[in-house]
Amino acid sequence: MKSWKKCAMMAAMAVMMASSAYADVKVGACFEYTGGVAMYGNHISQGFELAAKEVNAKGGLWGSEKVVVVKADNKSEPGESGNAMTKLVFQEKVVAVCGPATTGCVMATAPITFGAKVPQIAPSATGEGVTLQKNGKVNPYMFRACFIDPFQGSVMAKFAAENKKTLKCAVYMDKSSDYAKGLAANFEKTLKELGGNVVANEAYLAKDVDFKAALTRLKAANPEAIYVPGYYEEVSKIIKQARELGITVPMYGCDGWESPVLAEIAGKAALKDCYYVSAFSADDPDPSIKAFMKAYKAFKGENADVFVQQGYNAGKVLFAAMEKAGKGANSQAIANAMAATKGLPIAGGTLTYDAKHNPVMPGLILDLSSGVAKLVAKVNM
Amino acid sequence: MENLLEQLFQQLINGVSLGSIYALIALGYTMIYGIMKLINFAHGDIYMLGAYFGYWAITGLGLPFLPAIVLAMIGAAAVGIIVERLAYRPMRNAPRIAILITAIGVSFLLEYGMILFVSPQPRTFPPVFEATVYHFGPLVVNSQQIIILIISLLLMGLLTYIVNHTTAGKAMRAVSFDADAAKLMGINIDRTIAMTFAIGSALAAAGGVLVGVYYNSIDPLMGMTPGIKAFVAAVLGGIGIIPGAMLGGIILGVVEALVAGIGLSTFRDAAAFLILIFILLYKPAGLLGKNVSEKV
Repeated sequence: MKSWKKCAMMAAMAVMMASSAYADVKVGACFEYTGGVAMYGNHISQGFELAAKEVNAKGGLWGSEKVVVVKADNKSEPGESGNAMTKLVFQEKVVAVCGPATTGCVMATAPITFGAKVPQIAPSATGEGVTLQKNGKVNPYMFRACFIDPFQGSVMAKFAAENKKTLKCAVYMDKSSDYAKGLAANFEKTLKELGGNVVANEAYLAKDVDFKAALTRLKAANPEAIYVPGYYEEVSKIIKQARELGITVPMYGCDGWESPVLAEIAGKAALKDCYYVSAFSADDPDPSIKAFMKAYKAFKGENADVFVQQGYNAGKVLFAAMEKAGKGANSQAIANAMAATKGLPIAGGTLTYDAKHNPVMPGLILDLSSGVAKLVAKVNM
Repeated sequence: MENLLEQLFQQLINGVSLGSIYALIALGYTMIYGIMKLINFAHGDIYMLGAYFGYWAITGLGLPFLPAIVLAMIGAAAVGIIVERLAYRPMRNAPRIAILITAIGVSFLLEYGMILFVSPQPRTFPPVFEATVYHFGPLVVNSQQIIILIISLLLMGLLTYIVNHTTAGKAMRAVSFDADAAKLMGINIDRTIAMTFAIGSALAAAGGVLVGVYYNSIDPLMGMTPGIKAFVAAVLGGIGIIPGAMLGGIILGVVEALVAGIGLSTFRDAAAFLILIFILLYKPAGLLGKNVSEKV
């Protein structure tokens, strides 16, 4: 009995010593691993893991500590996001978190990280309010790795007015998403500034499958183009049904369109004259993109997309800030280091945060006419 | 004015094609309610399973459309029988609320079980026939819409024949009318109920495959909303009454299209449930139902 106790004690001590010699630093990944936008969550998370793996391959942070990514699934629902984030922050005690993917889910988790003072980087949340507090001040713990809604909506409006000369546009938006509402408002604002006008407005809700009634109304308004801010699951059906109803005008979209599923469901023929805004294109000749594509191919055996890139860039920003803040730095120091990010090399160029923690980078317009997205223009606002 | 009229007719076309799908699912609801007074909330998920069976028959076995839909109907009928045998039969004498909760449980089991096996990602339904678009003046009708309507009508006709002109149908009507008396007359109740589940599930599966072809996409949660809508349709027409389900489905589809057509597309679902509330308040027996006062 006695010797058994001794043994156990020695083993426990050995474990404790081992863990202090090779301490790990835990970072959280709260993503849409299942549910409606599971593809976004999984791809972003894989990009983030690639960034962590690259840090670990170089000997970890501060030359000694390995980065461990702790995952939590938010099931693509804002309510579940709160639960997942609470688990990461209070149970797992992560020093920083990456995610979730969509604006709605990020908004649901922001009060938790704000209260616990844990830095959070939302790789793809484009909602304007994400990095702000309720009173309009900047949330010191919230960052992102993508451009924001006003920017995306404005880029598309500029492309519509100047490249395509379609000044009479209709808007058909996903009313259940803050993301789509923000895009629609800014598209309309910029289009009007450039001499255009929105001639019809219609809305749908996530999970709708039949859009013919509203599309019939839009068709009657005779627009020169239709702007459809929303996510690929519904948008693919909207494009298909619009073409079936004989609507042949160009359709414009946002990075929520990004998915091979869109082309599969809509069908190649329906995608003629369909364009969307993205921050990433695999045909981008930039060398940093080529290197990143190669690293991801070696990591997961498939080609990276914009989500992988955003997750990867989020990791780059976070780990660079943690490295700079120094070993054992508190969350405040890490957040300050993140806010000071300037000219940091990322996949696709460099990243600088403005005063509202929004990155400054160019917008790409991709054309879906051939069934696969092709870069047709780079728009700077 | 002419433009408005055109829009109205186009919306009617949109509504009827949507409504015939609701009707196919509502038929199963109504049959099962009619025979065992159970609102089978898992019915929408059988419809989802039917869509997946059709998908596998087409992509896996390389079958053309019609054999695939038949196979999907057989597969769903089998699932319907299994569900009834494992989940509902042991509860035959339990209070009705307990069976209702079981039905909700089965619904979740099918939805999240499928997520486990096939992932939550929507799948693209293979294009089994090209959608030809017909123009009648300014009106647009898709060949798929016509096929959905024809297949729905054929299946409903077949169902009416089975219920009214076959021995099995006679047994179903007898069990529905008075289960105990039917038993005394030598009708095998278990077999009759299993038969009802099989037929109802097969109809739902046909709806699932048609929807898969029409919208080109299926996912494990696709049965949730249509399931509830079909329930509304069944209540609207008069739950337990077979022509009522058909009528209720079409009316619901048309109302939804018209509500969207006047620019309130986000209130479409609300309109469906408002109808449910009004029917329950003012005509609980449904449009085709007769008010029967219950003896206490």
